[in-house]
Amino acid sequence: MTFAARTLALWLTPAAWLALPALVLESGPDGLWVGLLLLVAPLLALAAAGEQAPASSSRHELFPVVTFLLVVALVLWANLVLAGDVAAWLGWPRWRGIAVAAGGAWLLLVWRGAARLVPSLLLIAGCGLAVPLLALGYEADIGPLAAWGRVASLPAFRLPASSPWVDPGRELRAGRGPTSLLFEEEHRVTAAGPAQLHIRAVDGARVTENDWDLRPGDTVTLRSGDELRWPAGARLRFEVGKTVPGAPSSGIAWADGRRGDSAKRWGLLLTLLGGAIALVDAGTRPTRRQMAGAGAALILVFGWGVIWAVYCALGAPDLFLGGVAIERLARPPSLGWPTGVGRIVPLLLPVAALASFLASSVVLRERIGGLDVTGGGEIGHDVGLWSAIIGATALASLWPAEPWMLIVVALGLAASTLAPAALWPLPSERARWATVSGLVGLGIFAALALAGQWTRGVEGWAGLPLAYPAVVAAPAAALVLRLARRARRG
Amino acid sequence: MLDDVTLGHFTPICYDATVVRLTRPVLLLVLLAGFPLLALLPSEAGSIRVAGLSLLWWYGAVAVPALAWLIAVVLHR
Repeated sequence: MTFAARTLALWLTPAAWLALPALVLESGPDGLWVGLLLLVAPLLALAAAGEQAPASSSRHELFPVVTFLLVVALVLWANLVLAGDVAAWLGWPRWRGIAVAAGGAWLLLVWRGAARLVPSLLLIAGCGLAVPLLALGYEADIGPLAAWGRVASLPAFRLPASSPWVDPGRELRAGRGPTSLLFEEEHRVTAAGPAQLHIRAVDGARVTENDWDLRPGDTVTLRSGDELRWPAGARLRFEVGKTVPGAPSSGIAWADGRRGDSAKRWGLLLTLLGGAIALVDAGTRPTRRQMAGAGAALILVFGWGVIWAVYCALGAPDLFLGGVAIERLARPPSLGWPTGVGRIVPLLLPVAALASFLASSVVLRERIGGLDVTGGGEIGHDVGLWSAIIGATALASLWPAEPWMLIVVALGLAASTLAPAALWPLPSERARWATVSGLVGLGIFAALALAGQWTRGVEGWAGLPLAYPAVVAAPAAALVLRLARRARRG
Repeated sequence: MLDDVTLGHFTPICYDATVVRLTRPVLLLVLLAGFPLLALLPSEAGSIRVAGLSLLWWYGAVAVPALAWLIAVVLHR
């Protein structure tokens, strides 16, 4: 297995690399920041790891293995949720997407030679990403730079005639779609099937709420400031040429982004950096050529994500409808695709995501096997254990969740519990202190994460530990390690 | 501790390994930190368009990836 393939599969699961264009599309520079972190964090982790002596202290401890299993379970969960969302977005039952992804991961578990498949799976994924992008650029007849300039100059994001939400009408909740829409201009909404709509209208200080029972073809007009809600299954049609509810106010607003989110940017930096340090093997000492290969592969994925987002913003602004959901990026609704044989092109991206997930499932298991020196890495191939993990995460994925948030939680957990010991390994006679430090990190991370659920709405630097608990938990765990080290010297 | 590195046909150079050890992660962090700082510049300086792209996007989408790769590879021991 090549080093670049291993690094890519370990770090960039589909829930991470597909979140990149979704976040760039949703929030412009803030999404670009996430992409930069996804690109630079593993390079930084490799730079830091390459300078360390191979970690010896934690190899006979149970704690890192159990915590790593928890982190991997969260990553698998995020990706199986995404598989379900993509399936629902493509019009399949949600369970079918989960079953295909989980079943594939389980088959690779049973086959001992699965590691040999990883480069091939990633090659398939790479082709699945590159071909749709090239086809899109060819069809649009415009380069990425010019496309960005055109998007950034748009006076507004308007619903194109090719949108399925214009004709013939589509359910908005397909996948993980929105449950409400806020309109910023007058907009006529038509029922494409029987629909019960709830409209909340704000007129100055007066708020009125109305329920409408619409038959197919019935229309209701919403004004600026009105909020529309609907039950699952309602298929609606929107007006062509109107601004997309949920989209940024203009291309300039998208390109410039929002100001004043710097606290969250630093929180995400520490979380992803710590997660990368924990995931990348601290004992790894890549050669310069391996480093160049891994860096180039990361840059290719980063470039793909940014350019994909720009082309989608230009060709499929209806992606913004009610907020950007990751699964929509797997098959943007209103893009002009080639005809004939080219009709298979839109399906390549979901195939790429599946291939990438299968490669990641193998590499993550191998990574845990690397922690189990005394057992010869057997834990990475324990059919009973991994069947239970895959089964449990597949079951949990039946309920919708936010895949990117699960990835951030997994990386935050890894940063809080595993990263300090990976950065500053202790000698084996004091290995238990690595466990103590990890437990301290785990306790603080769990407490802050729970507190964050009950204290939503705290913004700025005060809310940072609640939004990204690793910013407190990881330094606290590192402090325990430093004290243990100092006590040894004393 | 002194070490040396050979880059193709160039003359081998001697460097302090401890300095390089710290330089690589620090340079990568500085490179990253430049992005939010550029976004916070007064008068929306990051929004100035240069050759079709704003300065912020040039920095984030082009300069950081290229420089990060160079730092990670060239300063690799």
